[in-house]
Amino acid sequence: MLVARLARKRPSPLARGDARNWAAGVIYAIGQINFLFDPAEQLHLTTDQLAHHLGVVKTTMANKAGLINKTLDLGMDEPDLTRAELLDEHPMTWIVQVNGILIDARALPPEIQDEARRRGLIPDLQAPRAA
Amino acid sequence: MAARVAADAAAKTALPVGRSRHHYTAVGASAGMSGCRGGVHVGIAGEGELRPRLVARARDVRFRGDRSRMLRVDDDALAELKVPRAMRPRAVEIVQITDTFAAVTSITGTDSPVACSSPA
Repeated sequence: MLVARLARKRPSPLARGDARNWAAGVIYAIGQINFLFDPAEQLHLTTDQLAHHLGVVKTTMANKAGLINKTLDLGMDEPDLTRAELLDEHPMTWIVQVNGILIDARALPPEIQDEARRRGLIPDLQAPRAA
Repeated sequence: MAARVAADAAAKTALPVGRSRHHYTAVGASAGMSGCRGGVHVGIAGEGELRPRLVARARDVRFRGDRSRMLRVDDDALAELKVPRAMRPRAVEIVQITDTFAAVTSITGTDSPVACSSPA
């Protein structure tokens, strides 16, 4: 998904540079969004370990991730790039505004949830996902 | 809170990669899977292991334990994602690297159905 978003940019930043560095940057960027580097999380890894496994320089990997974040304006709330497990617990993901009032969409009737899902206001946890 | 404390304690007891009694690869070998590749020692299969891992299935890459359906990186999937035709080989190349990385690397995971045991 993230690679596709980068590939759709014109001109695409993916067109130049070592593919391995881009792959590392993509994994790093997705890792950031999914709290991969937070040791308090059950799923975690250090940046040193990640760079070692990928065979890239840590700073290069971080720079690519920074470029990806900047290019795509990525923040911490990226439902498309967040693991379903985290998404389910992310409070901001489910907040919708109904007649000016902020409501957790999961508390709404199923038919309204379906409509919110159809409009892309809340994520569809069953939707296909890919890096 | 108690769960967090327990998780931290268990994480501290986890053995480093390559020094455990049991090793397994990150790629499954059950029906429909692409099979274990490389046989690299990537993790431990003990009660103390809490580190998650990326898993790879064919060209799919995901965090271990993530049960959501995934797209396969073929031409149809790329077309669906509106990747320009000229960029598709490059996109596939990059995703393949992430896939290879996931196939031989432990970064996470405890309970993936696609992990296969591979004694050291």
